[in-house]
Amino acid sequence: MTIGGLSSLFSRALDGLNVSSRGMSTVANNIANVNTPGYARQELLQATRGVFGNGVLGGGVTAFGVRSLVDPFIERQLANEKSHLGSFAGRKSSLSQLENILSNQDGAGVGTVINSFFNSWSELSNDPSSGVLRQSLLERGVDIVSHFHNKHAQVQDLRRGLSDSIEAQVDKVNSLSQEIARINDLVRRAADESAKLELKAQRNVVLSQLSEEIGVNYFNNSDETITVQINGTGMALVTGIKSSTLSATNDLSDNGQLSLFVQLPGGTSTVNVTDFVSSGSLGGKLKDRNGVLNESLQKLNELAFEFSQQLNAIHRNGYGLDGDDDRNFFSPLAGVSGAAKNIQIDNQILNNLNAIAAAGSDPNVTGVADNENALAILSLQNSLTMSGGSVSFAGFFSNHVSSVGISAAQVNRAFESQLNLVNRLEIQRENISGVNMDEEAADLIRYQRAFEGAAKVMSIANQVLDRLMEL
Amino acid sequence: MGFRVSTTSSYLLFQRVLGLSNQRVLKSSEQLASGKRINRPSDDPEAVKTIASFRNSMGRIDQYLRNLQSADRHWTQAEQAINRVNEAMVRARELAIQGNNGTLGNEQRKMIAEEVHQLAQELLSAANTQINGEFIFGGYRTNQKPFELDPNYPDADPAAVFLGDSNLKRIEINEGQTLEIQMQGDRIFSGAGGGDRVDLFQTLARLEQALRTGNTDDNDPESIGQAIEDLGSALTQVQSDLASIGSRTRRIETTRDALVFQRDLIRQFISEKEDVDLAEATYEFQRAQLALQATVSSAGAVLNMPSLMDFIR
Repeated sequence: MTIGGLSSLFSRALDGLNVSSRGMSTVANNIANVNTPGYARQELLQATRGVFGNGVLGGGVTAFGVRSLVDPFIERQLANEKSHLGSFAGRKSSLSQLENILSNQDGAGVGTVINSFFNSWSELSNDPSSGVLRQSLLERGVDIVSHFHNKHAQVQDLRRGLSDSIEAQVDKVNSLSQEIARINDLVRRAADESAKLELKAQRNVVLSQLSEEIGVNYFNNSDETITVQINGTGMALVTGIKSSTLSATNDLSDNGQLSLFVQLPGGTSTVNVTDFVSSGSLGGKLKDRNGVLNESLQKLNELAFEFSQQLNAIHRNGYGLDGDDDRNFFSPLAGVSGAAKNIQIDNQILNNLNAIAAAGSDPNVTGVADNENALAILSLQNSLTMSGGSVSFAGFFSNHVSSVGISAAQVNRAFESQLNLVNRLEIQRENISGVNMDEEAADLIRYQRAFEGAAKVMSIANQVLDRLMEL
Repeated sequence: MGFRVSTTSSYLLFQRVLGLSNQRVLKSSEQLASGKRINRPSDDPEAVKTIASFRNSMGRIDQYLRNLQSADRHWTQAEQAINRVNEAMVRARELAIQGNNGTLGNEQRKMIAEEVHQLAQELLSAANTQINGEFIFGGYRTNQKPFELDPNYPDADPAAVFLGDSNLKRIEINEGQTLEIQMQGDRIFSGAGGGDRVDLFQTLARLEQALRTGNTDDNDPESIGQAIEDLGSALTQVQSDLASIGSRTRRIETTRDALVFQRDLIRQFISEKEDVDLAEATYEFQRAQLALQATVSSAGAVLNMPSLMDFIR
């Protein structure tokens, strides 16, 4: 050993101290982030310094960086499956609310009020001139009207709530897109590797949040920024350092749709992407908002329209106790659209119980016990009056309730199995990228020992130098 | 690098498993609390549809049963009225036979005629029977007396006028089946409907007239003897009318029995579809509870496993 080698002893010991303490701080960082969502365990990269002369002696040690342990395949799969999970979660809550609205506790709902109404006609047929029975029939009619009004309002409220929540999510998507674009910019300009790593980890967390809201597809650009597109479209939410704007328009009419539009950065026109947003909780909610909720309103409207129409047609044939015919029981409706909201008992009936047409001919001529028209109306109860003559009034709606139940059951099952899938992927991801405390403890001891060794070298080098000075 | 397990993985795993166990406990406790297997359409959408249609049928059957009750009241009332008619006609024949006795004086015959006049009033009251204020023999004209004696009774032809009509009120007693709950008053009392139907009022009026004139010449069409013969056919007619009521009440009985049977069957169907099997649900609940306990204790054990961290001084 040359004397020059003695001074290098100090610098190598210092290297050792430096690298071990960086190792310990990497461990400390891992431990600190053990519960940080999306955090990927970091590992210190160290190598021996270049050698002198003939390569006999190493030149010390250097830490040249930190790497994150990430499996990009699992990350991508996880983001994708989480967006499906989000879609099912969104649908699960709206469908379970819808099935609660449509089915009363007894599972029959509108069918029950319709049947009570017909039973009142049957009751009236026993004694067509009874004012009490006429009054009770009118009340059952009012029950039907208010049932349609309530269900229509409740489904509309649910739809409005869902629309509001979609619009809030649209804002969230926009702020997440902006955040990704901002981080993209920082990544592009970051000076050192570890700052880049940290920013990319941050970006992954935001990306995973975004994909829970709306299904996305992403790819890396050459400047390490990423481009994020709505899944299944080439429509970009983020291109490099710029983000697009997602916006929603909500048509409040019964069959109105909620539509989503993308305005590309710097662009002036918007593109309708409603039909392409199918995953993420936004996609799930959108599907129900424009699908089953509109369908429920439509079914209520169809039923209210057909029911009032067909009842009126027979009612007009009959005679009231006052001897007049050709009167409607329900106010005539303009059409299917809005029927459930607009259905009303006709004023002529409301103001005059004797206008209820139970008789087939003028009861002042034939007699007050004439109940022929009441019997004719009764025949509507079980007639196949709906869906082109394939199902009764009550059956028509219970079919719809059942189909909502089927969707809800499917979504519940899909949600559970998707939750299992995401859970498994998360565990897999954690097993690659997550922090293991035992491992960190071992690393901590390892770096501690290395630090102690380097310190020992430093102290011995000092003693050696002291002895030399004493000479 | 070998297979590694991160510290968070076991938390994630137990979180999910605990969630599932909790759901099972919740589900079975909901079923136990409500006593129902189906608490919302998605629990069994197909069954919900069937149950709705069953309940619909139940509601209709209940209404049919109420209608049958009303039909039963009507027919019982009609039967009572015609029984009164029968008794009056039997008494009239007794009086006629008494009055046809040649040894009887005119005064005695007049007294008998007076009693026959009272019987006509009894007949009129039976013909104007009401139920809940409705006249049952007037067809659709239930709000006015269907029969009135002519002011010149017994010297008028017809002796009584019918003010009702020939419509019969029908009500629904089963799917697509109606039953009339009235009898045609003019047919029963005024001999309408052709054939050998007899006008009961006219028969009593003729008897009264014959008694008042004391006509005992059996060959004379206006004699008491002729009236006795007419009374005989009137009685046959009344009894056949009573029999026809019997066939109606039997139809009511059999329909009611069938509907009650059907209702019980449907109730049983609904219960089978909808109600929870208590023994099974209790068992399931206990199993779910046990599974939850096992998960919780194993989670506790695994998550508290000693770590190397514990040994760093």
